[in-house]
Amino acid sequence: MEEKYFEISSDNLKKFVDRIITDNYEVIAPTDKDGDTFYGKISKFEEANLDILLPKMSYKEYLLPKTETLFEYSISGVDTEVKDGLQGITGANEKRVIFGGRPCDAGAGPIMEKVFNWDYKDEFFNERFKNLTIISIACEKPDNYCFCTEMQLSPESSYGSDILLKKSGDKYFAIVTGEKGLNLVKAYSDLFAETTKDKVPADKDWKKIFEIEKTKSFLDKNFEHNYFQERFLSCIGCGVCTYTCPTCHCFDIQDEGNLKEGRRIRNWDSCQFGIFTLHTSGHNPRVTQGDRYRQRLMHKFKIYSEKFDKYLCVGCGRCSRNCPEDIDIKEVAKNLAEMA
Amino acid sequence: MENIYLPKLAEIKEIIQETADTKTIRLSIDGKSIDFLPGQFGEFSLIGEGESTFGFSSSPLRKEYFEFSFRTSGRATTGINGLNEGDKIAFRGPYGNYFDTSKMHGKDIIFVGGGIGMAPVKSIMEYCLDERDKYGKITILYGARTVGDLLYKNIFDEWKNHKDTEFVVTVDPGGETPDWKGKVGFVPTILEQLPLKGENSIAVVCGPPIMIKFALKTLEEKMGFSKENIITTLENRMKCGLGKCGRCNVGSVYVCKDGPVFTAKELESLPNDF
Repeated sequence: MEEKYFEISSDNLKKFVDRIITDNYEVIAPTDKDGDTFYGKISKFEEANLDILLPKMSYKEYLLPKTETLFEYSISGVDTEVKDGLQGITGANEKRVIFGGRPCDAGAGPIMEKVFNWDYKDEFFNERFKNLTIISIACEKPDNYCFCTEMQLSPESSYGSDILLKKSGDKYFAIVTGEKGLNLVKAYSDLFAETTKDKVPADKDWKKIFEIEKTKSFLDKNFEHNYFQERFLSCIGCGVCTYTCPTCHCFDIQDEGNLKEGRRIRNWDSCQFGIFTLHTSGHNPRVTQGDRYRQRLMHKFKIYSEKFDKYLCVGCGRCSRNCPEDIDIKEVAKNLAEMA
Repeated sequence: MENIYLPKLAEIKEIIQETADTKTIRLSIDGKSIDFLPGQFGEFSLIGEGESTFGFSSSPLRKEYFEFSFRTSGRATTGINGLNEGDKIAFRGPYGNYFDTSKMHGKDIIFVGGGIGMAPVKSIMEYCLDERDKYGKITILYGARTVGDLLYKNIFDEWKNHKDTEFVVTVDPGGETPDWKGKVGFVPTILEQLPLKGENSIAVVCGPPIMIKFALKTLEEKMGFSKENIITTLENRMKCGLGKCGRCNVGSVYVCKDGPVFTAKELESLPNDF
């Protein structure tokens, strides 16, 4: 579908959100909790915090929960009963809307979709992803950790959003990218007014401070470069970069329960932990924190793009903002590009 | 809608205690083996204790069963170790690429296995022995640290007695017993003494990383095997086996999907990350 364009006043946007909630939509939006802002379910428009640049965490957990039941089991004697986790999948609700996220977070879904459908199809991810409607708001002021423009997106990118809202005075322009967004607009057509592309303010000329292709070309040739070992000596391996990342999707599979009943689950995991790659023999292909941070850079800026034609990073900068050692991945990627 | 993480249940037909801490377990589903190719692997588990990754160790041509060999080491393998014949094991697979036997037809083959790394070698080797006429001379070199660490002792005679097949077994120096009749020496050292040439030959190698490293060097530099004709299988820690969980990659290569079987030529282009 070609993009379609609408206008909606700030008042009507509030009405729109309140009305879809009344109509049983589950609306997930940035909302304040425990002195910080996270994506969470809201029960009215006022609970959404649209002033914050980015919530602490991305909404990855709505696509890939921190813990997910792959199946439940019960065993008695020689009989094993297994209950398929897909049957009881949670959060694959057709009426689920992510409201007020940013273009970087919106970009993560279609990027991750590739690895979850590479040959084997992960229907846990797919069921949630296909049912999610994403209404994002373009950013007006990225901060110093942001680098979405370098990551082939921009503060005004509509990639991954069903509807992108761009604020203009006391109204918003709504850029509708596909059927899912259009159906929602049509269902509440009294609140939206159709307009044309030329009325929508043009995107600003966002400047890049480095070329990601150069970062990749450094990584292509310098696996053994001493930079990795030296720069990441300060990394304490806490894994916060991977947990707060919208695109980091690596997971562990564990059994929880006993030999009579329980469940097999998958949990978020992190390439920053030594045990992530530890062999039974004691051998570990990635021994140092330098090896492990290099893997994260390689996966994001080289490996994923070679396999799936997309970088595994949207430039949200959460890994840098939340890093206890202030490792700024934008600065790292820029350094690598300069050394290329 | 298929749940790719859901295992099937396989029945334990036979358990062979190979060494003090290793076993081979023969499985079947509805009295039959499953379709797989040599070099592929699966995820095996006693449900409740977690999954482990093992390569198949039997020939796919043996249609009544499929088997794997394992060392009891952690929680998952301790669980499997406690099972008896008739019990069920949960299984997912087969996964990964495989040894392409069509490229080996008419050629001489040397199989080199070290320790429990012999398991995947046994699968391809028995596959070839099951169709013995399709190949030239077959040489089998198997080594372990000590006599007590050798798996598959109960079928050594079966391997030895095929026509045009030489079977050489060795243990590391100091690992021999007083009545040991095999060789004493590291695998790469014994390999070098074998009367083999790289011409029209294929080498299949699996074992601990240090053995693979030196065996590859010997095959290439001293015996004249080309890198394309040396085939090995890598192992890496895995969880899903499906190219999603993100831990088994070596550079841009996912061992679970692009591997686990690689030629020495392919390994050469990978970064030192395994």
